[in-house]
Amino acid sequence: MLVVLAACAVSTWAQQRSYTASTIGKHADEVLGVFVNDANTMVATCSLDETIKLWSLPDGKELRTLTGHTAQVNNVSFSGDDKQLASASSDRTIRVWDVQTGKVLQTMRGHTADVIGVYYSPVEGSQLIASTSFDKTVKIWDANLGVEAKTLRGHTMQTNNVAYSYDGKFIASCSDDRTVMIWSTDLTKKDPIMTLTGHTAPVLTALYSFDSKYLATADERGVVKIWSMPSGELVRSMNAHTDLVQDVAFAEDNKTLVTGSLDKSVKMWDLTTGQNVMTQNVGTEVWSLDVTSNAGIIILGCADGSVRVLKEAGSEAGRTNRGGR
Amino acid sequence: MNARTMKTLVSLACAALVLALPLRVQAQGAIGTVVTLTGYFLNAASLTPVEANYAVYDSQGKKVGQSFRSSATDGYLQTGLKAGQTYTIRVEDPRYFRQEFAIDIPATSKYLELSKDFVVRPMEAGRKIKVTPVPFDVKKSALKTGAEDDLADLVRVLTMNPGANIEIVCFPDAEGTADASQKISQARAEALKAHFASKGVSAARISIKAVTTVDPLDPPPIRPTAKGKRYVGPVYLVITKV
Repeated sequence: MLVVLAACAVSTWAQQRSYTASTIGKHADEVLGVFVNDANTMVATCSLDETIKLWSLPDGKELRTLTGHTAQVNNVSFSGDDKQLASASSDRTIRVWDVQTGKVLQTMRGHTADVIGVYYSPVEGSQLIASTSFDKTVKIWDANLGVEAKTLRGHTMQTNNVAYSYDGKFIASCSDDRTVMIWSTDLTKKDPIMTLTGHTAPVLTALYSFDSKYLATADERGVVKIWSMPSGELVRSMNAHTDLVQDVAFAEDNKTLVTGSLDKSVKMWDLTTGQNVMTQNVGTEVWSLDVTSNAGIIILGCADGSVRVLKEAGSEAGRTNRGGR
Repeated sequence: MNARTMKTLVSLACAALVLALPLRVQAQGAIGTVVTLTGYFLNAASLTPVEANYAVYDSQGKKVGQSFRSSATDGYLQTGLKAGQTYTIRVEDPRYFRQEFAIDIPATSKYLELSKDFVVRPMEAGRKIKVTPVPFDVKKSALKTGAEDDLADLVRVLTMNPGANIEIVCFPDAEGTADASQKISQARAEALKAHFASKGVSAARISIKAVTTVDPLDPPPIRPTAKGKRYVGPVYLVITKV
């Protein structure tokens, strides 16, 4: 009996991951979005200070500040080839930036309220960008032409965030109407494929796993739900945090999820068991986060303007054997 | 036949009389379709129905018929207007700010009833008008993108009522130091004053007040809110002279 208990204790202990925290730099105001590029060599952050900053990985050196938006920048997303960055702002525009030069390639107007979510199609060579806005719509843009390709209507309240599936077939959008809608990326289709219900508070974010088989969604009450895709079956619901969860990130193993909250903590979850394998109190509200492919480095965007990293010993390269997105 | 139906018929008859003369002049062979416009006058402060005097003008600025008055009991109004025309409903009542509402009557040959409510602002010194949506982003003192459109209606009201003076009152986004709160409230009030002045409202009519404590009537929420949905300190226009 004692042996069995000891074995269980060892097994539980073995699953815990340990990270060391540090601050790599600061924005002049709250950091609202974080996105790691496919090569795990760069991370972009955006802020209430109306700027976007690019930082190198794994060393965390500030590379460039992108200016041009005239209101807070709510989210950012790298293109599949890492050459471009899309940003969403409360100035109602989506801008596309050349990562190398820092120049604006496109400024796309069409939303009639703050643009909150933005996601570049992860498909190599694709120039499509999805966005969400407080105008209740989801829009698809052609970044090459700088034009709106499609508007998806269905949500009854403001839409909060959006994500492409990594196979490029679907888009997930979430809303204050407490639903998550799944849309086809086929530009000829305008109705949602399905609507996921079950959240009891506004849904703030949605993100696909790298194999496109899972969708993680999080809401204003700190509840995180995992859905099997494309069936839409609910796999797991977790009372992950005590305050709203604005951002989540998958590791490339497709079973490790990291969540950050305004309850000032960052947590890591093993989705196969639902077990919490790491909790770190950051001491400030976490608006956004992203991870390198193996989750060896977690980058945090914080309410005090700091950009922080949590590093796991021995994970300097940040990736294993393949790119995530 | 209930009272409302009777009222409708009487009003339609009156409308037909009102329109009879111009119709006879305009069309020898065809009588234009009369569309019934119904609605309520509502007090901007309470959104309760109110009695108000108003007049209807056509697209040439010519008054259509006599002045009208909405119901004293429930603020209801009913007017017959010609299909395919554009009209202006003008509030002409000393109890309220002069205001105009544009009405496009669709072209139709069938009976049509349109419904529209008209929110009027009482002309009283000391009356407080909340500026919604708040024309600033959280922690920012520059007018937010799109605020110009949101403020257009207030600008129209101020330019149509040159005898009224206002005080712009701005509250901070959160409890903070008095200096920081004063700075952002002052900057916001000045930005709004400059905007009104740029649109033709005399700056001499506008005073400003920067409040350093949060609005007790609309305080910041206890729970944090998602990004983009952050609480922004309320902004009011207080009527100081009518």
